[in-house]
Amino acid sequence: MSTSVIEKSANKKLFKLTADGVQNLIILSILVVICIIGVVLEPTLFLSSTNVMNIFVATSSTIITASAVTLILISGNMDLSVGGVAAMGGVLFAVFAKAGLPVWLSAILAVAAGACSGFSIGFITSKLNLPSFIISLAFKYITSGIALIFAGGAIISSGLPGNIGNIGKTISGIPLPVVYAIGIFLVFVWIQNKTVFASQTYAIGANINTAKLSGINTTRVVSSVFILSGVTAAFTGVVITSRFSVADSGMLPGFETDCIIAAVLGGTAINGGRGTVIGMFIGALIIGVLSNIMTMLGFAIYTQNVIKGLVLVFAIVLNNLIKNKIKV
Amino acid sequence: MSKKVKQNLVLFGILILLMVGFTLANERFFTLYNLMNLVRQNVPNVIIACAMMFVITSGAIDLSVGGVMALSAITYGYLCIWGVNPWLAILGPVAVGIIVGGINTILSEYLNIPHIMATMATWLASAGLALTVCNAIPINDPLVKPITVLNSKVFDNKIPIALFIIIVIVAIFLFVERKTLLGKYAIAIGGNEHAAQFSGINVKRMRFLFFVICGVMAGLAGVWQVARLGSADPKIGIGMEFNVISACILGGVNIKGGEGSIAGVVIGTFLLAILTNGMQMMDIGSFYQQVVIGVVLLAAVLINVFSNRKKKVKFIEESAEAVTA
Repeated sequence: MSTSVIEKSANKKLFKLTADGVQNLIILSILVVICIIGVVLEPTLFLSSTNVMNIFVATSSTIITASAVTLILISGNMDLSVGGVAAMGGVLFAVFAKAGLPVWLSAILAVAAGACSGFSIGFITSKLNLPSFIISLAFKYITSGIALIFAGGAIISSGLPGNIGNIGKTISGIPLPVVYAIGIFLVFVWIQNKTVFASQTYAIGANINTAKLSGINTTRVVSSVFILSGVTAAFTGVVITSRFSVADSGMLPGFETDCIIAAVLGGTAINGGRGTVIGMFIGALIIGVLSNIMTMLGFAIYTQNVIKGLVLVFAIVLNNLIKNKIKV
Repeated sequence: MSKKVKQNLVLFGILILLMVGFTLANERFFTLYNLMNLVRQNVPNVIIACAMMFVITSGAIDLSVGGVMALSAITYGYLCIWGVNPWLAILGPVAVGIIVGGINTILSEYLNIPHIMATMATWLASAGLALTVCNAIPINDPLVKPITVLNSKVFDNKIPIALFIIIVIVAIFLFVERKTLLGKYAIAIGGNEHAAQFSGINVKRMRFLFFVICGVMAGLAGVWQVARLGSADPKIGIGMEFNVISACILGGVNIKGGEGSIAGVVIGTFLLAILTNGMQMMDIGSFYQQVVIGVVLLAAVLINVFSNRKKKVKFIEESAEAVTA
């Protein structure tokens, strides 16, 4: 009899979900519902292989950058600069390639520029104990200004070497951006689940003072998190520039909000200390599918922004509800 | 001399230096025509920045002002087209400001969404709504035009009415800051929200008031842009929140709350305005201007931090001396 009680409690524990698990289940079902709505509204278009591929390619940039943005949010910070950094990365990549550098070297240099911007934000934020949103806002303007200067206020499309498209092209039906997105996503899942660095990030997000007192070098951790976001954002810009063989200084408008919405939909607490990269992946897909359906139905970009604002509020409210209801 | 006055004097000195520099660089800068134009362009910045001062000082932030401006302009345009008296129609934008301010309060204070996220959502929604209702086409109807009389100049066609509008609104804000409890409450809430709550300040109600003031000022700024441009353009608010927040920080408002003054914010707004105007006069491309303004914002934040640090050390030293004495 006693064994059965033990078994019962073991069973109970086995099926007891953590808050993150509940969150992932809920948003996964939301994703499924949205997909069903898409199929009902546009039965032939939505499930066509081109459209599915399009969704994945469009979502890949969000996934690449939001992986790092999720870690930033977990650390209790915010990065509003990713859109500007992506534009700067893309434009610098094109400028270097145009100047005659090999394509791979141009890409590395562009990503390094992104890392510098990320480091500056993280270092200033943590060293001087300032709110990261205002520092990253300043850097958003600095980086997008640099992108505009180098692109001459427009786009760079002529004079680029022929092999510039190598980084973002489609190889035997599989677009490389999707491969990068999945690769970077897996790397970040590993970072989040297996490294000390990630646990330090969670600790800082939960309570920066206790983290400091328990011997975590907060400056180093926060700077590293921001470097990761700078690198991924600049890499996104490089991939997009390579894919379209055009460097647009105004690429990815509203990118930072997309990344934040994806992370928050995935259960990342906006105040830090909680969140998963896997949840972000589903959140990014929700945003991607939603934009895709709205575009198919003929919604203008600005109307989609209204919906995105509502989704953002909904996501945060859902987060708060789950956090308050489910104590593990 | 209090620290605040000292800080404002330093800011004012920088302002004068900038003006002297630009005057030496370009003789067209220090002309009545250019300066009055500068005043007309910066009515929205000044009045929103004054309202934003209360919001930031109380430890919150409002990113939605640009969206509210656009939505107000479009609301005003439609009200005029529907035959409402163009002066009575100003109530429409005011209502928009109150509604968005109320939504900001509900989201941030009752649903516990951080201010920056709540107002970012309302900004996305209101800016998108403004573009949606008019299909991104400015309303250019002759019925919208009567309000442009506000943009005219008086006294021998030299002084714009805008100057008087700015003076009146800044005077009202100075009165509210110094002679009513609102200014003290804002600083108290920004300094320590819980302490303020326990000392009997209704924090939620005060936040509601600040958000509504900010929304209403953004709404009126939208009307002003209609008056200046002669058409209701849904794109007028782009980048407004950045300009206004930068001006506030330049004017010595602590981004974490608890510190700030209207006088400083007004000086900060004009500092930013003169910097932009002077760079335009010197033919510096708008791309470089974006970088310069980003750097200025960064510098302003850093200067605020370091000056505060010095103050703290001084305070500790002084109290240590007092103890030993």
